[in-house]
Amino acid sequence: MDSKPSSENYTAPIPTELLKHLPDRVLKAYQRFATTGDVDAADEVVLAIIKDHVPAKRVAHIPANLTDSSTLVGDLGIDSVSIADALYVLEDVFDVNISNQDLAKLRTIGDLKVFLRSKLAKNSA
Amino acid sequence: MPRQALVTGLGFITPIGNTRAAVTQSLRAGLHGIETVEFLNNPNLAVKVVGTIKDFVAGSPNWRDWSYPSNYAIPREALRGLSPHGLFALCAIEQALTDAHLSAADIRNGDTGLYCASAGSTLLANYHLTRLLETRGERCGPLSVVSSIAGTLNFNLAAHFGIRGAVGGFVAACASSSHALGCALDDIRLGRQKRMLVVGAEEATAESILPFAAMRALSTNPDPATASRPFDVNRDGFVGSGGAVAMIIEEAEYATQRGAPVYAEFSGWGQAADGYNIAISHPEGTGLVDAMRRALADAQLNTAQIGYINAHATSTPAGDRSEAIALQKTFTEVGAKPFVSSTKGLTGHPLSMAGVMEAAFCSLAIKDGFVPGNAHLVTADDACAGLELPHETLPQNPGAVLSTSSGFGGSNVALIFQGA
Repeated sequence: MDSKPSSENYTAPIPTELLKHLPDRVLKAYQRFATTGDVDAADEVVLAIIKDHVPAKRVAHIPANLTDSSTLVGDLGIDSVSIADALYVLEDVFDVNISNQDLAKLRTIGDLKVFLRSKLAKNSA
Repeated sequence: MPRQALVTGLGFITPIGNTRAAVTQSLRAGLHGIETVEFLNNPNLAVKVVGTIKDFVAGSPNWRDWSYPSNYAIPREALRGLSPHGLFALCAIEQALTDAHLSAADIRNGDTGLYCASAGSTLLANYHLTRLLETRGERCGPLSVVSSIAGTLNFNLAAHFGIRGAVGGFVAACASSSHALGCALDDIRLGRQKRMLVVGAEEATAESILPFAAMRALSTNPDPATASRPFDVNRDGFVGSGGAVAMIIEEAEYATQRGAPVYAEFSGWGQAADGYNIAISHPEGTGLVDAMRRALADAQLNTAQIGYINAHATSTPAGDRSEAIALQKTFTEVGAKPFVSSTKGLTGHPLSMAGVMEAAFCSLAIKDGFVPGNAHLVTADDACAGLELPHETLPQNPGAVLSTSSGFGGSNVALIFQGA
């Protein structure tokens, strides 16, 4: 496990609770990932969490043609508060730690997916 | 001629109504907003009643669980940083802007400022810090600071409404939003701002209210219809409440030029502290006397010109007695007999929000021509001898109105409003 919060009283959040407001297909994707380790399903959850943190005042309609090269700041209007909020959810859902140094390298959706995959691979190793 | 300030917009999320019309009706008819509650699902608690906020479900620390009336459109990047009382405040400001015939663009040019009053969100502070401590510092919500500390209202609302004028927060417990109003008036008189939004808000949760039970300050009367009875000989403490009230104040010429609707002139204010005790008002009401005299001097009015006083009186034995003595010294002893009432019999005591809520009630009373009564008052305390305490609301113009607030540490504020 990457993240090891350590107090007797600590109860880790339940990933499906953190995702309950998202479309059903995202919950199903998470369950697929959790049961089979399907990293494509994890990608879908990552993208849904990022989209869920797009500031509506900056980007009223999220582009339908997002690709791995779409940028978090330029294409999705994600600011530093939004990314901190999104990473907090990603950390809890996937039980990983994302450092400030990691964050500095994440520019595109593709960067984030690749980074998460490497973290998840370490977790399961 | 010195600049004058007018009240041009009001917004209400209160235990006695979430619209101006509903609040006016409750004040006129004496309809209270206090309900039975079981805090923390604990039937052993002595405190059984609270002034509830209707049509909102915002008791969860997770904003995604909240619901609120569908006429308020709030983007999620605004919601995520809000506390429950921030949600109420945002809705109250939206209501006040509509009431004042102002668009979102009208308040973004730097001529409009925003002053806020709340004690922060103890609900969210507790929620986030619990996780921080349980994880030995490893996990904490990124929005925990801006959603919970005192100042959360100004952080969130200034960003959401795009305010570029003066922005700040006031923390003087139950006098907070009265300080905010007074300083807003000063900014307009000094020509620093043409318009000020002032909002006070509180949550009415177990976390915000029950700590007052430990001070023995809350009523343990389980009957919602009598638990809050300011000035009554049988009062036994205050009833906690919450919500949000917003008031818009504008420089008179500026307001007149744009054809703004006008409730009242905000004609003066004064403040003075007791320098006496962390929580208890001075038994002779010395600070409050000074605050009222300073407000009268500031408004250039004499005691005989005040027709109605909306008292802070929260229904605590010591506080109401101290205030009654202060009112006697300031008014009765010089032959003035204004009507006096505390509207907290209807609303309970919403702490930081009390001052702006009651200033807004006074504005309604002036605009609509009524004098709010003392709900639930049966037998006045002997300390109130000589005070005119109407039981029912009177259908008559109040004339000039003075509203008092007193907070912990002996902070006292008096505000004066009159017909424009």
